Amino acid sequence: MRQAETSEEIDAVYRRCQDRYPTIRLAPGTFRMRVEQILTAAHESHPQGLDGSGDSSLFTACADCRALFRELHHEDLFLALACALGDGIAWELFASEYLALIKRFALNASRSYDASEDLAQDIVTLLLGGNAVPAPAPPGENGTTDGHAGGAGAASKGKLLTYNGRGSLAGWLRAAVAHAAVDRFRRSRREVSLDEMMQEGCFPASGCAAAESAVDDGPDARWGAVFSRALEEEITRLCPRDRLLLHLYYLQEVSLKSIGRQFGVHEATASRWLERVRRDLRRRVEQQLRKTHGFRSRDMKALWHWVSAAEETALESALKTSPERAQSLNKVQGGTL
Amino acid sequence: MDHQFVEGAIRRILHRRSDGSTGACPDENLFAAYLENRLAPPETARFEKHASNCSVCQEVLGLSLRLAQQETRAAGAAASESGASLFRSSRLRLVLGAAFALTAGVILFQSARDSSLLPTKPQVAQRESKPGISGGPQAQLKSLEAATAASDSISKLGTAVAGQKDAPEAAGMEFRARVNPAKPAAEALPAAPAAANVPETVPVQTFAKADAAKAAGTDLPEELPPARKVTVQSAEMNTAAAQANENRNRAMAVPRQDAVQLQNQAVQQAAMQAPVGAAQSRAEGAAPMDPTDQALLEARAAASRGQASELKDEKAAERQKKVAGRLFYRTSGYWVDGECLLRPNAPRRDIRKDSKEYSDMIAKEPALVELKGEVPVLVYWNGANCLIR
Repeated sequence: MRQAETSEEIDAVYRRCQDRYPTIRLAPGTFRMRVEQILTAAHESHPQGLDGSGDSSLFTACADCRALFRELHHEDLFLALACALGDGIAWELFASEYLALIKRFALNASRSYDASEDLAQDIVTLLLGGNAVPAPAPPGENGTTDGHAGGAGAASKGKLLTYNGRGSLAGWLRAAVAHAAVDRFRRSRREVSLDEMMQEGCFPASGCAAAESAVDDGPDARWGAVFSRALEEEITRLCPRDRLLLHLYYLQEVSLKSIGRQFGVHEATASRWLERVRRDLRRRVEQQLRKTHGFRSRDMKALWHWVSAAEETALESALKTSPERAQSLNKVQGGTL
Repeated sequence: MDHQFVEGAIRRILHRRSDGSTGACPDENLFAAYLENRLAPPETARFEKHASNCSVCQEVLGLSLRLAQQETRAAGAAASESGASLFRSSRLRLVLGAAFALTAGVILFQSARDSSLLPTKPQVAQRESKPGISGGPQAQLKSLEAATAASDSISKLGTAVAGQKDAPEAAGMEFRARVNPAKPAAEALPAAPAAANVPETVPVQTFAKADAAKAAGTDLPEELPPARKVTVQSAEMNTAAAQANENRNRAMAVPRQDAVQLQNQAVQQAAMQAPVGAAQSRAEGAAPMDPTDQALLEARAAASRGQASELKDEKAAERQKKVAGRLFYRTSGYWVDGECLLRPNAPRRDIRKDSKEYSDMIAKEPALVELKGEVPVLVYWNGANCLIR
């Protein structure tokens, strides 16, 4: 009985998608199979069931699976699946709705127009299946879509096939662009490091060592390592969200407004959280060092200063570069991020 | 100061910690779902636990958040820009409207005085000699004539102003041209009673748009002030003489009211006679103008200016296109079918590019595919003006 209801629900969703995109021809069975794949994957990643019931019969027994199905972006999933299976009209619609968005994301993620064009091209190639490693293809009723088989993606099944509809397609594309941009940046950074090794005859880490040695004099330097270790341990002990907050704010330079929106709180609340984490870290580190090494407040202040200044010194040392290195760095900065 | 050192130290330690991926990073689906807060709480916790230790995911997450922020900012900027342009446009219209109203009001007053709508001293004396008669058919006929004259003058003024960019100057010139000749006559009359016989506030409706449309035929003015009711107050009316003639004012109240009503009717009739299509009627309404209507009006104006005659150069080719034997005009970000201009009152229908109706249309008129692009197309099809998006 429940199985019939489930099937009806999926069929109703399919009909709605078909109404939204009447010119796209995607077999109902293909759509249903993809939905079941998504739910199976979600269920497998939660062996106890998303609701902890441990029931193995997915859609019929797992309430969370049903809830998950209802929360999917069905129409986006329908479009992405049709594109992945090579429906020409679907590709046309996808291009008209999302190509400009991809280019905008790429432009914002890059520092130059040329780099953004390259990045956007990479993404499109990835979506078309150029060098992507797609997930196992959901077998269609006849193995292919029925109709429009002459489109851009007719012969290939690209990354779009991995889209599962949990987030919007636009959000998924944004994450895909961000992934690609970070990959490109890291790849080019590695290339620069190799260039450095070739030119300088040493590993780039030696620069950092030099920076450490530059500040490695006096009693602060001796105790600085102890202090840094204590601080690192305290940061590791933080709860994941607090640690993520620190990373996003201090390293990724995400604004408090965006962080607050992501965590579902107001900007001011995010700011208070940050202040609390900072205060707690300081209190705990100082407490520990007082307890274990008998430091006084004046020593603490000097050590905070030293650790902070060491960062600047390391940065300055890293920026003291040869012309060749500066050139290669410029090449990176002209790229993404 | 301490605060900065603490922050610097934290930043340094975080930087040292972030040296690579911890493996098994979440894919784009999880990122998208997390960024849209669509993950279940346990999944969110798992995601955050991983991201807090994985520098790659932190970078992806940070970049995604920054991209989202930029999108939001861009959307906000676009909204504020459109708001600012609307403000500029409405302010211009307000200024033009006020200039029209003021000019029209003064001319109405002057015309009424010229055409003896306002009783002179002898007339008042005559009426006072017949108590109980406040205005017969003859008085109403005179009022009607005066109203028609006033409406004509407003129409001409509206036409003159609508055709020029420097509308206030044009209005002022017309105003001087009309007021100055009348001045000697007004001076010849006993000033105080004439002024006193005018009500302190005179409602005036300007129908400059309708008149302009009438005068220009199909060439519709692009920037017209909205019709509005204004109140004109004359300084002359506050004189002591006006106080002295209060009784006579009361006696003349009814015919003057009739005159104003008749004048309004006459002007409305003139407006009704103007060749105004449904699109223009909608455009003149109180509601903000539909962009499709705007495109239709502009295309109509372009067609009437004769721009549609030939595709002479590349610029013209960008603005006009001949597709499937029809001429299309590009205005306000639309391609407008020339057929739609001939049938502005046809029903409006929206057709999506992915709809079956669109497929049918393309099947019958394959050439229309040429216009398929990012720009919406307004095309006459199956007895309706179809907006293809």
